Parts: sequence; C-alpha cells; structure tokens
Amino acid sequence: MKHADKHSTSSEMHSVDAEIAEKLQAKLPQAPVNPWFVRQVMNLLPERQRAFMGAHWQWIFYGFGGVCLCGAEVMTIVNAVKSSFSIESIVYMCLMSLIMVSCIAILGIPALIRLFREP
Amino acid sequence: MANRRLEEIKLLALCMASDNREAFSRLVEMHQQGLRRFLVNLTGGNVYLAEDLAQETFIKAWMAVRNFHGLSGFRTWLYRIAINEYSSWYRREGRMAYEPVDACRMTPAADMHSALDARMDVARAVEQLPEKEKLVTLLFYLEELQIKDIVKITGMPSGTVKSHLSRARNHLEQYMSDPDRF
Repeated sequence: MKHADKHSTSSEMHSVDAEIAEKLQAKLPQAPVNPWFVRQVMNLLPERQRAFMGAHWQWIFYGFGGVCLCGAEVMTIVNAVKSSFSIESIVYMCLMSLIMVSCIAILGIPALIRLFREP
Repeated sequence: MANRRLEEIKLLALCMASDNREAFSRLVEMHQQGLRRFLVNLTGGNVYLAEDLAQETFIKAWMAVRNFHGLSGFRTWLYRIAINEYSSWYRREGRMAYEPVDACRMTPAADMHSALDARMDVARAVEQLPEKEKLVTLLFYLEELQIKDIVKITGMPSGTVKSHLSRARNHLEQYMSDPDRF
C-alpha cells in the first residue's frame, strides 16, 4: 500500500511538474526579438591576451621537450651514420623525425593560425 | 539534439584552439534567445537589464572559454556565468523596481485582455517567489534543465535544489488558485 501510494504520489508530481512547465513556457515573457544582438556582442568582444605571455612555465616545459626531441633526433642520425645506415637505424631515424614533426605541427599550426588571423 | 551537441563541440574547439570569432558568434546565436529569456524573467521583466547582463555573460564567456573544461555542457557553464553576473549586479545596484512586461506586444491572441491577464498572473506568480526559489523554478521549468545541471549552475546541494523546487511548486499552485492571497 505504502509503495503504491508512493508510486501514485510520484506520478502525480510528474504530471504537476509537466503542467507547471507547460504553463510557464507558454505564459512567461519571451525576450524581445533582437536581430542585432549577436553583432552587438561581437563588437564588444575584447582581444584575448596571448596565452604565452602568462603561461611561461608552459613554454619552459615545451622548450625542454623540444630540446630533448632535437637531441634524440641528432642521436638517431649519429647512430645511423655509425652503423652505416642499417635498416634498423634508418627506421629509428624516420620514426624520430615523424615524432618531431608531429609535435611541432600540434603546437605550431594553431600558433601560426592565431598569428595570421585578422585581429 | 546530437547534431546540435556535435556542432557545439566543434565550435568550442575552434574558439579554444584558434580564437575563432566566427565560431563564437555562432555559439552566441545558438544560445542567445534562451539566455535572454531566462534573464528577462530572472530580472522581473527588466528587458534592458537582461540585455546588458546577457551581453556581459557572452563577453565573460569569450574571455574564459579556454578555462572551459567541458565537464558540464556549454549551456550549463554559460548559465552559471549569467547567474554570477546577475548576483554581482544585485549586490552592486540592489533590486530595481519591477517593470511589468508589455505582454500586449507579445500576445497575438484574439482575446487580448484575458491573454494579457493570464500572462501577468503567471509572471506575477513567479515574481512573488523568494529569490532562490524563483531561480530554481526558472532553471527547472522554463529552461528544462535537470537537477544535476541546476546543482552545477547554482552551486547548491541537490537536496537544497529539490527543497526549493518543492516549495516553489506549492507556492505556484497556491498563487494560481487564489492570487488575492498574495
């Protein structure tokens, strides 16, 4: 009985909620139509400060990572030369180059886009 | 709904990665009507104040979009900013006089007098609610947000939100059955 009462109370609550929602959505005031609102907002948007000015630690770690990558690339090239360009050394050299190019692209392309984008 | 969500994610990614203003203007277009309606009702029908608050909300969103982690939806995050803006205004300026909404302009019904009365009754009923109950009511019934989203927007515990909703429901039912009591 208690469970049935609880169930019927819960379904009543949902129907009351639905009724209130319907009434409020139909009868509460809407915002007046303003075709210029988006343009007004866009005209007010300030320029965002470049992230790198504040995130110096981020760039320190990026620089450290870049140096390590370059060092690893140099080492794979030296190993390839020492081993007279064995297949294995060439594969390592290519993989290392690919990793380096990908890292530069991930960071570099968005930065270039931001740089050339119209302010 | 899924397409809209995907488009929103794509636009947000463009804003965060490359400060893409066109993508942000598209986001403003998607959310401006709902946000402005919410603010009109939150401010008791003060359309001019609602417009200012909506503009400030979008400006703040633009400045902070890099801090948006996507743990809640963009709409939830946007409404949170809007409510913070409203609270800041409220603390600074205090409650302004209630400006009744010009319901005549918005009512195309043939029987304008009764339609106007009905709208004013509902608007007045909501306006009579205590501030937190009104906020939760608008988020739950008007904006159709779930309790968990309302919790994220308002910072109130889930139990408190439900309690406010329950009281608001009772107040609204009582008011609509006998407005002269209030």
